Amino acid sequence: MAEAAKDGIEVTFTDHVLNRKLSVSTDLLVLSAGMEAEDTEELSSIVKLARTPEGYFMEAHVKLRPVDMATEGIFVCGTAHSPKLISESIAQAYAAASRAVTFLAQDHLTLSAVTAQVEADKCASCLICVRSCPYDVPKINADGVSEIDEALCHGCGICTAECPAKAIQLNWYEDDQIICKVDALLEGVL
Amino acid sequence: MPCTGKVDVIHIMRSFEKGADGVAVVGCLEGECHFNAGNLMARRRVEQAQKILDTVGIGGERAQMYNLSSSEGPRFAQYATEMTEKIKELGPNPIRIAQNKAA
Repeated sequence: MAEAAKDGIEVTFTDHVLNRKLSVSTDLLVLSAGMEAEDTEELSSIVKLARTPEGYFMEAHVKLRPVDMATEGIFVCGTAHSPKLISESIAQAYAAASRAVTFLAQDHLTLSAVTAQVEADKCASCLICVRSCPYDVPKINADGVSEIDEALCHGCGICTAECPAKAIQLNWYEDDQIICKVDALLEGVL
Repeated sequence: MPCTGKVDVIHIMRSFEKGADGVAVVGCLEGECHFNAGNLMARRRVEQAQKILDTVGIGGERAQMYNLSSSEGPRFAQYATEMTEKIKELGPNPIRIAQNKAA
């Protein structure tokens, strides 16, 4: 509560640490304006980033991975993450930069083994994989067949199910493997 | 499966060929697919499988697509009950009846 006094402004507030009301005489009262997240929707839908209900980007884990986003290779800092002071933003930016460097300093990247692979002999270059991939990974290469870059493939398996020639298989989830699992499951119940 | 987008018509058909009475494909909520549109493609493929099942006389209703978020346990139970009721109504898979007769 702020009241005009003889020599400026009298501000009264409850101090939660002392658990009592305090009064302070001030020359000037400056309120911290509220901050709202803006323009995070488009980016979050393009790179699939989690957001809080207020629209701020959400880290992968508050304590274990505080500046990593759930999407590999993307880091967060500053007011994109939550309203904060400049000093806090800078500290978090240092953290994000360090995390990015640990990523860049590696000679090799360990990728997921679950990626789609094209069997070139079966590919009819129909472009269905090119169109169906949510990440635009499959490309028609110089040999005129589809090629999937393992480093870019997210391993969702959409192209493998769409491919009319069954020329694409998702490693670890090959059709043969899935059919074997279906057979084994049903043998157990029927 | 990493995503229902990986579910293929052949996987659904194989289950029926092997004698399953029904197949439920359960994907994430529409619009919340981690891979953008995998669950929408799955729905399309389940519909495709339903058409084939209707044509061959097994009944398209035996294949169903449901959408859930991972925190919706009660709704999963509700869908499972719903599916079981539906299949009980339809009776056993004709393929299995034929297989049993042949054997």
